[in-house]
Amino acid sequence: MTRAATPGVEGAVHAAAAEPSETGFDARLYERFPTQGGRPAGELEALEKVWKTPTGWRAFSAVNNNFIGFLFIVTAFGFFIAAGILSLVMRVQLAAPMAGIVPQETYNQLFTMHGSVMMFLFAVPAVEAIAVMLLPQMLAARDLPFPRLSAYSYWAYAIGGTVFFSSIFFSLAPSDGWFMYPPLSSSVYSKGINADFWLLGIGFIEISAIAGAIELIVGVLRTRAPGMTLAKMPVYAWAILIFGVMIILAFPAMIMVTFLLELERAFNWPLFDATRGGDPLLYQHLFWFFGHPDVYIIFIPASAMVSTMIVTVAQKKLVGHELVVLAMIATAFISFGVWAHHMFTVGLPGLSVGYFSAASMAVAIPAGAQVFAWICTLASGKVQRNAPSLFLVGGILIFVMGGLTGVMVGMVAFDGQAHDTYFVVAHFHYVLIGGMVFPLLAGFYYWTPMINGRQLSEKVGRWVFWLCFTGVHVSFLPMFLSGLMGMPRRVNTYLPDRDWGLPNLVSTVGAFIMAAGVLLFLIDAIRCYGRKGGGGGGGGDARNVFNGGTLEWLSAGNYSVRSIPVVNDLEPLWADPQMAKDVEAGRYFLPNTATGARETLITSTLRAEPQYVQIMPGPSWWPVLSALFTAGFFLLLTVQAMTLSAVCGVLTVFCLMRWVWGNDRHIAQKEVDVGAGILLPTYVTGPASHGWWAAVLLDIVLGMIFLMAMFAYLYLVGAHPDWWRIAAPRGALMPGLLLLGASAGLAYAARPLMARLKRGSGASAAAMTLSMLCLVVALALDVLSWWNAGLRGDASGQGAAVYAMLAWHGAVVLSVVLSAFYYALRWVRGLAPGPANKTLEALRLLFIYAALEGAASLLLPRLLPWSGA
Amino acid sequence: MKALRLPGWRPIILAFTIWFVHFMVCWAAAEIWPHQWAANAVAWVATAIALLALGVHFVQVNARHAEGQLPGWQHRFALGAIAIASAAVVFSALPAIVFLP
Repeated sequence: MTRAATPGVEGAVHAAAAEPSETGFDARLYERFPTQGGRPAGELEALEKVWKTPTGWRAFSAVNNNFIGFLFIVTAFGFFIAAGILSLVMRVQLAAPMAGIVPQETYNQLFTMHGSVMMFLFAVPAVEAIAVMLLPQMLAARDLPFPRLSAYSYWAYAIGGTVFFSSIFFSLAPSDGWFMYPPLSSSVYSKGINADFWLLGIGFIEISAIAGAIELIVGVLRTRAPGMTLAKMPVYAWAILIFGVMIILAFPAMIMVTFLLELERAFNWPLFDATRGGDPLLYQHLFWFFGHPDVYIIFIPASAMVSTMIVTVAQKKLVGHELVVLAMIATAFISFGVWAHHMFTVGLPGLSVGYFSAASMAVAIPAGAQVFAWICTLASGKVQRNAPSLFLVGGILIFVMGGLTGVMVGMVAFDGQAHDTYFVVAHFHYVLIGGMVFPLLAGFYYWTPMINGRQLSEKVGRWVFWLCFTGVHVSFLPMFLSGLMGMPRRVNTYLPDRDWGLPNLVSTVGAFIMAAGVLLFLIDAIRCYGRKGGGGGGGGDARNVFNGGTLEWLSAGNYSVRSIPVVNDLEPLWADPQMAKDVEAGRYFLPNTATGARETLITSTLRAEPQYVQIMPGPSWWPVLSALFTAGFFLLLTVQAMTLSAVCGVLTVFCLMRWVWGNDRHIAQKEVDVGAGILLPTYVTGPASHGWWAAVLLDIVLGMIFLMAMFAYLYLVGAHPDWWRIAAPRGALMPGLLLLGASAGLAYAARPLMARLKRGSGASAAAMTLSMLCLVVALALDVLSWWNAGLRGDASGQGAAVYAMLAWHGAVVLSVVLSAFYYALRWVRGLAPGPANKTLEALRLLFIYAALEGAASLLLPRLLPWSGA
Repeated sequence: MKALRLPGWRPIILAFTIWFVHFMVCWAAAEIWPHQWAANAVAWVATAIALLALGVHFVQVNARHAEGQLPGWQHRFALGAIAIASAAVVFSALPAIVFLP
């Protein structure tokens, strides 16, 4: 029984008829929705029960995106407040010349922690946290595809971040700046464990960010509501896709650079020591290959939040929607070609700085295109005058000021004058506050009714806005002046005769005005979220007070939407005013829990055609325990408690294995009714499976990290060829390559063996074990050949670069060994059934990747330099 | 229904990838041969190749669109990406023309 097709269904069927199907799904089945008649009694209650968040101390085992996302946002904002307090102490110190509020060493720790915490513990996690909470709602998915990974990502960040931040209370905080440049951060000039805290803490937090990014990419590509093709996908989902891809491409550089610096500090491998064949500029290249895209990693999702909110504020579709999406993609790409504009003054070749200067100016064009789209949308719509709109307009103005001064410092000649002065401090604060903090505050005012069914105070919001807006300008505008007057960054005081006193005093007053605004916001937020009752905590009645058109306003609980609608518009709620009622009445996909477990609909990447039902893991202690022990491993390593650290490492591995043990489940129901009699499978392997996509993304991350290791090697060969003194042991080349070829071949054959042989399951487990053994022997052969050739890691840049590459490859091989053990264990317990299973699909990709990486580490140092030494 | 032959995002990514490879080649040449004609010459050649590649890509995108393989927004996105990448290639190459050894 159906009634006349709704605009969403009609449009989706029409659009599907115009273009070829991606999966063979018959889009005419959409016409069965919205279904008619009532739903069976108890269906909604069963759904609510399955998705219920554990209470009391069991809440730590919760894995739902609403719960974890909310904690994530609160924690990130907590770090924002904490880092803001550090900046206030700095501003008090700088308010007058020759002030003695804090000693120089403490001041160094303050600015290092302020920058590190704002960038690593607030900015990136905050945008990731909002995505964790908002994305499933916006895509009408029940949850993100790997909820336990979200939980792990959060707990790793919260535990690691808290311990890292606490270091300042024990004078153990790093003091070398948020970028930690060597040689200042080397063991010669930074004794003690302060720098190690930064290196291991930040590296650990990067892992958390990458875990989140993989989850978000798969979420965008595989959990969209049926009919939501890429063309109909909200601009915010586009931004999160771009954000995730940028993280997996850029953050590996950071992981590698922290790994290399830690190797130098711990083992005296001279990777950045120019006197022994290393190069400090290598560090800067790697750091900024991460560092500058990081700014856009923060800005792009925030700009998409602006695009989303502006549509609602103006009650008009975004002008140039496609142009805005294209601009975000272009910005993401070009941002990978601007990293060395942070290095204009280090003596790069003139032509080289010319390229980076050109790219730095070019990136302003797509960013500018977005600003014009926002202005046009506002100018042509009926603008609502409320707190979110104030923050949006104010943020755009501040961001434009930051962007334009960015073009100024993108010019080499000007940068030579302004570099490392307060001009740059003012510039990037304008960019980040306008491009991220104001959109975030606008988002709090805009989406709070969706989260807890209440609004933050409109009246207080206006006060917050004007205090923050005034505070930003009073604080940072004078910094342009003090910078042009020659005041350098990172100085704890200055002489009275420099005339810097007045602009600094004004800046300090401005900082406190802004702090007053943030404090007022905090009081209002506590008032709003602290009240009991109503629909708090995602418990119900989300109110679409601003008349938004995107799907997050359908959100009704932990399960996101009662039923998953068919979508064919960028603002589906505007296109079909009846949709909210139909969704709530369970008239679309998955109106119940078809398998009795948590589940969501997995759709195809381009056209969002329904493919299968994913059975999702529920609450579990393993993610939080894994995070706890991972944090313990890294932090105990920092304080050189090796035994305890090793214990934590073993426990981490055990918890991770126990966590994923139950994920690959075959259930009796091969197919289930997902609504209107449409049957979909519950278990899929290979490229159609969302797990396969995550495995591929993980391999890309590993590949990028190794690419950075190869870059480090090539850079040092090019910079200091005179230190390449040991002849490459080419005798290991052929046997090594044969072993690696065998390893890759065995891993590749594991699947056909399983599918075709009578005892295929055992044969595939044996093939995987043999593959692992080949990898181990090849690595041992590689290391021994260098060792026997006389190469030592602490002797030269050559030794350090070769062994660093092998050390990283060794870590990958170790994970292969553990994976092979894990898979053999599953086979023994009968949990690796044929003809295919998801665990094997994911692991064989890792094994094949490891073999390729081994081949690269074998070949590169033996072929380049060709002369051998 | 006929299955899609190539993912629609590939033309968009390809255009920007051409720009990125061009940029990296120019930069690497400038680092390997600092203050030498070779760096400029490599940049000129790389720019010619990149623009040629973008031209070929433009023709292929239009051909796929004419065959119905690249419908609607994917075609518009691909053309936009080619336009931006072409401008970026030319803009990136300017220093190689202006700054001579």
